[in-house]
Amino acid sequence: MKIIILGAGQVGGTLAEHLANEQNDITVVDTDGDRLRELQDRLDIGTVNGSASHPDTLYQAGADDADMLIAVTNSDEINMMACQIAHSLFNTPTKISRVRAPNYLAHQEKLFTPDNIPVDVIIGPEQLVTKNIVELIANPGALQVLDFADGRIQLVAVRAFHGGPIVGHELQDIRTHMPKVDTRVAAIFRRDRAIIPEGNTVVEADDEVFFIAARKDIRKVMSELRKIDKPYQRVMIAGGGNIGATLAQSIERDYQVKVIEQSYPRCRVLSESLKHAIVLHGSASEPGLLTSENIESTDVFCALTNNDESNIMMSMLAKRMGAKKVITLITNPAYADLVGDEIDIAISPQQITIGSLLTHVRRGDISNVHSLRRGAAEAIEVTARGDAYSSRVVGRRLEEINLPDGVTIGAIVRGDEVLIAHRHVLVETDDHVVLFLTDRNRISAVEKLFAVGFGFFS
Amino acid sequence: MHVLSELLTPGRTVCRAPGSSKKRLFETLASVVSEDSPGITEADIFAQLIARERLGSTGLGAGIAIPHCRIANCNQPIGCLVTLEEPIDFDAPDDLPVDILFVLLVPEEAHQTHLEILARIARLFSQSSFCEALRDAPDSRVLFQRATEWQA
Repeated sequence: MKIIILGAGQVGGTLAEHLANEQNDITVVDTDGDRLRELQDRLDIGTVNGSASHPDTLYQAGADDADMLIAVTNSDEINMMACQIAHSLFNTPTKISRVRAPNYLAHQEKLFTPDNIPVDVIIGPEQLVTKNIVELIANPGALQVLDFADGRIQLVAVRAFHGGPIVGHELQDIRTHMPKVDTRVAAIFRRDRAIIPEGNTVVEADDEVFFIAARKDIRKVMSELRKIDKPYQRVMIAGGGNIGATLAQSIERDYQVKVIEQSYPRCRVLSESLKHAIVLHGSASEPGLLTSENIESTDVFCALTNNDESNIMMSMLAKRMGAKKVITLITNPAYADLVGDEIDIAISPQQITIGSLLTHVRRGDISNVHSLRRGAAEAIEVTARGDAYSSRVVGRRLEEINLPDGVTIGAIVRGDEVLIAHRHVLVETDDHVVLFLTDRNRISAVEKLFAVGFGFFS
Repeated sequence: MHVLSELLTPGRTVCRAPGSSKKRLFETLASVVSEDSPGITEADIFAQLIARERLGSTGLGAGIAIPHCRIANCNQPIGCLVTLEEPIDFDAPDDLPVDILFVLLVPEEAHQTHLEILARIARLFSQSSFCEALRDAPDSRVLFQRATEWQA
């Protein structure tokens, strides 16, 4: 595919890196020539230095031939305008835009239609990040919680601990422990190496285990892998920006929420829009404030300011002063690698955004892509199209499907029904299949496996 | 044998079309077909062809592709034959670029007949002598003639 990426920032750059190796023809556009040169040194891509929404820039980037435009510059307005130009002048089939401002997103359905602002897919990173954190707070002990099939099933990453009944035992024992719960362990990472789990794989303490189960069973499966944490009650949010405010709004009914915000005018806005949460004016890096707000009895401390350094430092402080869990927003990937055990969960907005973008870039009928383990692994939900003749998947039992190495099928969703993957399950037309790739380089093989044959009529 | 004579018209036969990419080629195809087939819009053909291709390539191999899809407001199967000046990348199973395309648009119902037509077209285009004759055609008139009068 020919893809134009507007914006060579962290998301644009990482996306180019993901896609350049996958038989795509990538052109990146930015106004910053140095940044483009740096990308071009590492990757086999084309670059154009210019204003992303200008017709001549888009023309130079090959918009006449491009299958897809992905607008991820820092400006919502440039992103939207570029999609409009691509639509009106170049008839670009797929236009994806990042839009941050909640003000635009509030009118999403009316604004973004082919006759108005022609954007096919809107990516709102703040919304995605907020949703991610809400799930983490709802599932104490989970490192990651990812939705598939509109949340009917979830993929959960959790670290195994001594004391979990299954730790030290074979995976197949889960069935005897919990005959009524169906789950599938999709992958295990042990000292950063992937293990493809079999029934006789023995779980060790400190393994990072990815399992798939129906939403209602998540807690029970987690209790097999570690002593389960009590449900969280008290949440402290540092930073009342877009993410902090949306998070507070979506959880204030279910938890005791405190929001710490430095700017007084912003505090006024927050206290007017939040019904239950308490808004505090001050800095979360002030030990005095944390003490007086009972940091030691806080279950989760979320550092969500727009400054990585502050987020990391205040998280470490909060953790040391007794917060049970800290969730920290870190945009710089180098920092995310650097921070150790003091930070329980580092959230990378780029990685979350990239998963969401890849959903629309991949070939096939794909409804979800989650980029995992800093982009090394991937979990995808793909619809099996075609029939027994035109598909290599439909009409076959899972054990008959020739999966690429390092790829496991975790579950199938058929309408409202969730089928956890077992050998004998037969794939039917239009089933949603959830797969786990321990190595994302296998994606081309997975795309080929699910591609319909020549005789398929759409 | 003359599956093509029922599907093609001179207006939907284009010899040595320019086109540097799949996207631009589909634009050309959509415009050629819609001009010759009242009731079917260019935008619809373009969108449907792109959507079908996304699920799996319609490349046959050896430089041939037969993009096909269902179309609303289409009363009978419609064909369109295009040869290209320069072969283009088409994600074909043999990874070879494509320079002969036959587009098949069919009504939304009657699945089985479409599959039979598609199979007959595929058989015809798997004969290399037929494809060579099409590649050699100097203009659209001769191309139409050769395509519709070919004796296996």
